[in-house]
Amino acid sequence: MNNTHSQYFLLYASCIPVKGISRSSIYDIQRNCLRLIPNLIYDVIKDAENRTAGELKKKYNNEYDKEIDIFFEELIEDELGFFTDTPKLFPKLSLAWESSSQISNAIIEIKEKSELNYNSIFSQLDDLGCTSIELRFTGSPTIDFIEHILTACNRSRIVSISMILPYADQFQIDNISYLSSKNLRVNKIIIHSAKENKKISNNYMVAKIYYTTNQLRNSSCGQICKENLIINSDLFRESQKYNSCLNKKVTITENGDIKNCPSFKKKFSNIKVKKLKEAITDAKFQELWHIRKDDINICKSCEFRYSCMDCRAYTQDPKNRYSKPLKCSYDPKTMSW
Amino acid sequence: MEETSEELKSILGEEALKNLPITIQLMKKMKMNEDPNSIMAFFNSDFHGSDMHHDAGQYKPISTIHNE
Repeated sequence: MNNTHSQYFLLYASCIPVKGISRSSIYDIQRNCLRLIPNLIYDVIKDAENRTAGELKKKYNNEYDKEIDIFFEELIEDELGFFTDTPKLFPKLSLAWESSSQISNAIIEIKEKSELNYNSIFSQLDDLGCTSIELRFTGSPTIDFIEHILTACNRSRIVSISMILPYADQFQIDNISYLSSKNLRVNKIIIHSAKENKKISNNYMVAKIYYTTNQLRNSSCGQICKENLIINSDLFRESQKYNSCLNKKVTITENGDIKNCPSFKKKFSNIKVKKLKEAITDAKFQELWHIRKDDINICKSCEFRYSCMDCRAYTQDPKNRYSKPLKCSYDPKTMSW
Repeated sequence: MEETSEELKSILGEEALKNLPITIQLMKKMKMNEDPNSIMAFFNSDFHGSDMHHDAGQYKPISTIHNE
């Protein structure tokens, strides 16, 4: 490492350090993984940004030369960073996030004998640029009705469809697999209130199919757990400026109410009387889109804050709009789930 | 960091604590100068996120109503 004395140590642009209250993390947003590190190493990495390795060691009175070498060796071995003579040639990645869609994702509650015009809803979502939808079926939908709904999405720009269905005898694996194979935009089917828990996923199907004995209700949402963390460039960048769950999201309930999320009481008109475009451009509707993880109590000091879906519907203190999500069990101070 | 500072105060004494930059405080606390290899223990915590959302151009779930 002696020949690095006059060199600068940098993390790769796609490896971004994030400081938490008790430990930090390096988000590798190219390889979609996260490396937990002590805050000490975060501080050394930041100190190294504008100093050569020699200057850095001098800053610590050359008392920790060996430790600093070990830091860098390890980071290089794990392909997180490198030494360079020309740090200016390696600028930081822009974390700007933009979307051409006015709405990117939607939750639609669907019941079979509804007065709502689902074709019109899908068409309006298409006009807004929506690409992902979650269909929450209520009641006892038939396979024919589900197919009818999926057909309505056929000529849209929707690329991914998740479906949540209450269990019925007709939803045996053969029928569901058939439905999935005919509708390749469907990437997830969850059948709740089932008789057993099982997951069906294979190379021949696009969709993953889950049967769960749990009864899923709107109030089941908002879970934040270790297994649900998502590390990728889009979510990381979007979370810098926007709410990771509610940004560019709209919900249409089974009676046509337009909301940010099915779990909110607050509604913004009804699809029967107002066009979606009109409802979602209301500044009040978009207010929650701008609550970032960096604004939320406790979350703002969490090393996982750019890898989780936030929840504003279920919070520890419902009167405080910046309160921590109720169903997140992680304590960044003690680093325990 | 409050607990950490309190712990350090008892280890180093209040006056010494004031004069040390935080990284050095931590280094001393971790006793890395005695055992530099102890740092290796902190590098074994790789964390891979859920891959369920990379399919079909989706980068995040629409809801968290169901945990896989």
